[in-house]
Amino acid sequence: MTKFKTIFLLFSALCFAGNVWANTSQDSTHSIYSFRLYELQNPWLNSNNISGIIFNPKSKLGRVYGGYQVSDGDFHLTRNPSHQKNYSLFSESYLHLKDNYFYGKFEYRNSDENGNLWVGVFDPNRETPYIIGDSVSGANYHKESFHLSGGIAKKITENISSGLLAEYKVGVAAKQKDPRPENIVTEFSVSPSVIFFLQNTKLGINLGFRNRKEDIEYKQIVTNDTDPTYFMFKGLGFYSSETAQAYYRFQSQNSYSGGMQVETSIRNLKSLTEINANYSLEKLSDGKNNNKKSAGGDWKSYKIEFNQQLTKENQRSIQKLSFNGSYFNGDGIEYNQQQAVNDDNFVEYITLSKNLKFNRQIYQAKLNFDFLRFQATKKMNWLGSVYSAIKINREKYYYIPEVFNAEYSNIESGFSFIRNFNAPSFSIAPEMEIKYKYNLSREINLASDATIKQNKNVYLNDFSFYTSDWVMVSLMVNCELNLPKTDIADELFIKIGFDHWETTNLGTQQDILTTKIGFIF
Amino acid sequence: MKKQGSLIFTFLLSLLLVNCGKDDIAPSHLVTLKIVYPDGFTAADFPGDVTVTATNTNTSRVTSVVATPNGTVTFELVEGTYNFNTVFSVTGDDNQEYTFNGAISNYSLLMESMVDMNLILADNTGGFIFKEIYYVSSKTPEGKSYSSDQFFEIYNNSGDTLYADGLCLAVLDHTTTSKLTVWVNEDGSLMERLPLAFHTWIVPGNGTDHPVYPGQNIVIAQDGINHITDENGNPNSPVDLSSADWETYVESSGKDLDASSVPNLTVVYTTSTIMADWVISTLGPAIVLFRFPNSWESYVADANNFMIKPGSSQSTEYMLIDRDYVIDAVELAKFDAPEIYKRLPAELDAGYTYVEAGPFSSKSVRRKAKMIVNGRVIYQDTNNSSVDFLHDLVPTPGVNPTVAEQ
Repeated sequence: MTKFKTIFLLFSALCFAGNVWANTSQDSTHSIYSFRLYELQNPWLNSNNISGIIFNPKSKLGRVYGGYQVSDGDFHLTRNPSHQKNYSLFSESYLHLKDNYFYGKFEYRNSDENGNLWVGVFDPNRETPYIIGDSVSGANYHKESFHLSGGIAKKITENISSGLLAEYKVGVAAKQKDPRPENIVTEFSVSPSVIFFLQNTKLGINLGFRNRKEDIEYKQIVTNDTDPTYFMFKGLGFYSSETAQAYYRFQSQNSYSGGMQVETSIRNLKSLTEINANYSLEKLSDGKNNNKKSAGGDWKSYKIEFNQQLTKENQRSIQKLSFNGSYFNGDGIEYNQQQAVNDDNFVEYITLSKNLKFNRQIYQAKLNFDFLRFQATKKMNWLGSVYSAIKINREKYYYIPEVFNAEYSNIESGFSFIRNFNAPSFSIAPEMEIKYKYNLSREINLASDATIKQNKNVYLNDFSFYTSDWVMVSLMVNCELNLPKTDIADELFIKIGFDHWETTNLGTQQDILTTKIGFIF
Repeated sequence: MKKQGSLIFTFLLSLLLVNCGKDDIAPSHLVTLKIVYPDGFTAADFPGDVTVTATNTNTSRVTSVVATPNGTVTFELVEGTYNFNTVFSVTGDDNQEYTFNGAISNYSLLMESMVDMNLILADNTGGFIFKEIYYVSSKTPEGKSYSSDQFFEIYNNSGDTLYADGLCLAVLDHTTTSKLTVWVNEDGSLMERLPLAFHTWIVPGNGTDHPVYPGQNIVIAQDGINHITDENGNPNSPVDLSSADWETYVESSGKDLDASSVPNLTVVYTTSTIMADWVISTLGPAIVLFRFPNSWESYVADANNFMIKPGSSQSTEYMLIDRDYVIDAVELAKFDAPEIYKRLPAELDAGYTYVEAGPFSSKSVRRKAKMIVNGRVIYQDTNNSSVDFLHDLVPTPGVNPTVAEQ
């Protein structure tokens, strides 16, 4: 981890150095809600086009904070923890120097998780159904991750701006009980973009490439059992299993994306329309030597997304109506493989055929409305938001001649309200959010044959989670202290929040306590 | 600029169309098996109860079909890899019962096809058989693995007095069925001769020193002690082997326990000079009981009976024996592996058995008692351990069941 710490220190130093440099040339005052304000004022920040940072309302904005979060409860997916505590360091800033616009982000997260079962991957909540796991319970899963993100945008000519966003993530994790999975995740993405300035229109285009790799190595550090069992899940709870002293899996995912944005304005009404498409292929292999097999499958997915943002801003307020609709399709293609002795007398797996076994389709739509009222100083006075979202999820597993399936649809609505109370040297902003999710429909058809390897408990538990009706109440208070004018920071802030989730039909609940302390600059 | 917009839309659409082509769902195919009697056997009709099973190696799903009177079986199966098996008996004109095994392993069904299933006559003329095998071992109260209580029980299943002198016991190279053995021919079939790994043991004697009467057994222990009570044992062990007939004492290691009350088998040959004890794979060995055609000393002296492992860079030579030498053999499989790659040819064991509870579960496999005649148990021996053996039993060395078993 020494390497990661070095990266963190260097990056932090750069963040602060950049801030000092910027402050020497321009004076400004910000608050913790400046980032929310930025996103409301500049809809491009909610797009996939980094070149849009040139439309930021001010020349610089930054924040750095440390966070601590603890969560506890029995309302969670099987592979997610019932108890988790994590601390994080976070830094993010926008900066405008001459013709160049910069964006930087750094995040370090250190977490300890308990109560997550049947999981040996760093992040079990990605869409792929091909998850390796074990039946070991009561183990602490320790995770650390770093996320570096850097973006630059520049006006090349009067009519063209271009930008580039590069991100790098690395994560390491290990369960603290044998047989323990050790995970090493590396992720790199690059996204070039461009914006053309037309007469009354701005046209943006972005492309993207992302590569994610995960090494999963099950080891025994304390014990020396010959028979630990590893479960290779394949969707809808279907799995194959294998016993071995150790097990190794490698996952590699390549994603390609493209998007287009169109911005038009009529008086003070701004419209940004965006369409994005993403295609991704994740392959995995099991085994470390030459005799590699695929005990899972290829995960081939694509997603089409449509975003519409309408923003109306005047001296007193910002009103924003946004719509997001998306369609996701994922196919799990599994291999029919057999071992054979090759010409060199080594055993290797050969692929005889591969077939579609699993399909997941997700339809989502969300309508959101924000209303922000300014104070005389152009700081936020209050912000109210209301949203409603619908989600339809369909899954099928082709266990020919049978086809097993599960599907559900949910509607979710919520509102939040923040009020900012100002005093000469400090401000307090209480925030409240209430969400409610209601299951509209559900259908599930699992195997009844006991000889079929399907972990119904895992799947049914997760299905209950997804189809539960729940209410979430979140209370948060944010205290900001105006600092004396220095070159370092404008405000010191402390944020404390408490989220309570409770299902109305399962009797389960989850609590999350979040604290953050940091600076705005 | 409109042109540029059109280009981008075209790009996005082609990204989706090119990369998001639908993959096919696994199709089903017809496969017809023609059951063929071995040379020298003819039968007008097949019995009405000849059932052939097809086991999908990936899903473990079993499909059974009864053969037509002319010996054909047609399955409609989803594309994949299958093991086909059958075992049945017919009464010949001579009023003798003949048992036949049919096995096709790891057959890749990728299109409609016809396959011959060649039957093998089970050589169940009686004689020595493996009655019980305890290979999975046990765990100590501290949770440590304990393998010293492994044992083999050999039984005289015939009505004649047999002699244990010269009986040999060994395991085949390759410690698990989850990986394909490299001891294969170019076409992927198992080599004609069987490669033996680790120690090969022989019962000493001049030929008539150790009679075994009908219904009697020989227990061969790894360590001939009462494993439950001995201070070197394991209180969790299920067996007392202090009255075993023989033990496999590895004298050369200097680390093996030599039980003074139990005589030692003789080492014929070993591929390992570092093994402290003759610990066999708890994941499932392939074991053979055999006799050399002549003296074992002359066999070991013949370099033609040895071979380096195919593909190996090491110089270790493995002793090979002919299939004809084998008296009984049992394939013990790794139960939960997705695929099972057999090491024994179908003529020696057309199936496999296993301990579902897994390694160190203190369970054994034992042959089914087919019938009890005048108090003597006759065990089932169709050369197909899938149907001959019961699994996950509490070990009972030297004890026979009192009722016939299905």
